[in-house]
Amino acid sequence: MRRIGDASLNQVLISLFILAIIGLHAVPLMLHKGRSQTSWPFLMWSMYKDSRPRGPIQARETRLIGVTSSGSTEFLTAFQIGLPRATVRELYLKKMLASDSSAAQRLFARLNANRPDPFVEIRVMSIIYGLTDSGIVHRSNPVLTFRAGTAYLN
Amino acid sequence: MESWLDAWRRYWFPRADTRVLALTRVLVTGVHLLWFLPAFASLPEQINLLERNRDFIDPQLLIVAITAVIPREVFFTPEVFRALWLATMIAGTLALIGFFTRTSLLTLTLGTWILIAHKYSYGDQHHPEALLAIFLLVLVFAPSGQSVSVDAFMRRRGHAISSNPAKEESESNMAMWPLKLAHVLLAMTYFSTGATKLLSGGLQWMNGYTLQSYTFQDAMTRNLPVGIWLSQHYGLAVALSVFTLLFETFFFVSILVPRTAPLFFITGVFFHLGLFATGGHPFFPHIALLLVLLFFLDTSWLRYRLPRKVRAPAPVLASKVPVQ
Repeated sequence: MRRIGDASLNQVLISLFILAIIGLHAVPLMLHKGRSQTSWPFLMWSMYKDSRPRGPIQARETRLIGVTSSGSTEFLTAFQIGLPRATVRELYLKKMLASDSSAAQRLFARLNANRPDPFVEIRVMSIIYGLTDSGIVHRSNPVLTFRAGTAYLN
Repeated sequence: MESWLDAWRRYWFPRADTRVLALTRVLVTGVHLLWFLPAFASLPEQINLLERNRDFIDPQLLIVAITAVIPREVFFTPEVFRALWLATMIAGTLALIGFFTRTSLLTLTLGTWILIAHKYSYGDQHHPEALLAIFLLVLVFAPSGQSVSVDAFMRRRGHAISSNPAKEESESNMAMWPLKLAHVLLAMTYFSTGATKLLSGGLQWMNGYTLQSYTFQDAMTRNLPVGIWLSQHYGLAVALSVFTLLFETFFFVSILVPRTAPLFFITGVFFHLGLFATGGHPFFPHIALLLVLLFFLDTSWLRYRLPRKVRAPAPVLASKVPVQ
């Protein structure tokens, strides 16, 4: 075994490897752009970092429901849409909840590609849950309805 | 300078039993193969992403590097990914039993990295698999197959793939650095998580409302009764917020004061089990690494010995080395 000083060449190479693995964790700091990180598996570890002030504690649950041209109704899952749940939320759900019908039209286009029985209507249901001293209360928001090929909101 | 180098060498390269690293290999590749890979990068999910998307949304650097060499329409197809999945599973099985250990570990690592990086190229990424993926790569460069492996068995039977005498030793000063690196990486990531909470959220992060809000949102949408129950207990939320920040920020103490390490590892296991029960966060790879460190980083506290059967004494092995 070749030796450099008191260390073997293997130890020197592994030491450089260790430093590289640790140093690569600086890459996401340089590349960071908003929420999405593209340097996996070297990531910034900053989940759930923001604090919340004293106030109502609420949770929102949303559901997408599709109606096909034959009249059948089904829940639209992230798997069916072909994207991760968080991406569905960012690209479509948040915008549709803000009454952006162009996001709904993009979702129709994605869902109906190569589909014999296309979706003609998407409904967005959302429920707000709240914590109170007497337990959990909930209220349903009005259902938002988007129709394929139109750009208006009912 | 010399003393720094000595300290570095003493820390990373102590003489250690290679069985410890071998058992780590068996545990990590076994759990990864049977549980993590099917769960975190399932083949149906990969195929679905490939069939329903013509483009990536935010491609990972690894995926960008692959597409720079091989066009997307050639490599990122269901057929190629089925073959990649199969190759990864076969390589994982070989790594588990220690047959052509280094090559099979490298193939397992590459397959895993590509599958998970692909999954995270559609606008969303998560943390649970990251450290384990790095640890798989680390195992490639360590003598992971020197004991408890088909390779070692074949060497003992005189079918040595290598005539390097170092490979026949049951102790090595290269056997412990992977575990030490896993320990350092865990400490880095926990510290980063804790420090960003303090920098971004400040001490207010421990006000109870913060943890109640996060837990309530996750637990309601994922239907987790324990999380729903926790989010209704303000005092407990304050206590667990303080605990979370203390654990994450001070995990590195387990490196500086090794005697405290087992306590941190055990606490970490329960911390992640708690995160899963209350928020549905599947940090099972962290649990696997913490258990590996608990049992194998420093075995003296357990006062146990590994069974003799899993290795032959070094002199016996040395006598089997073919004469050149």
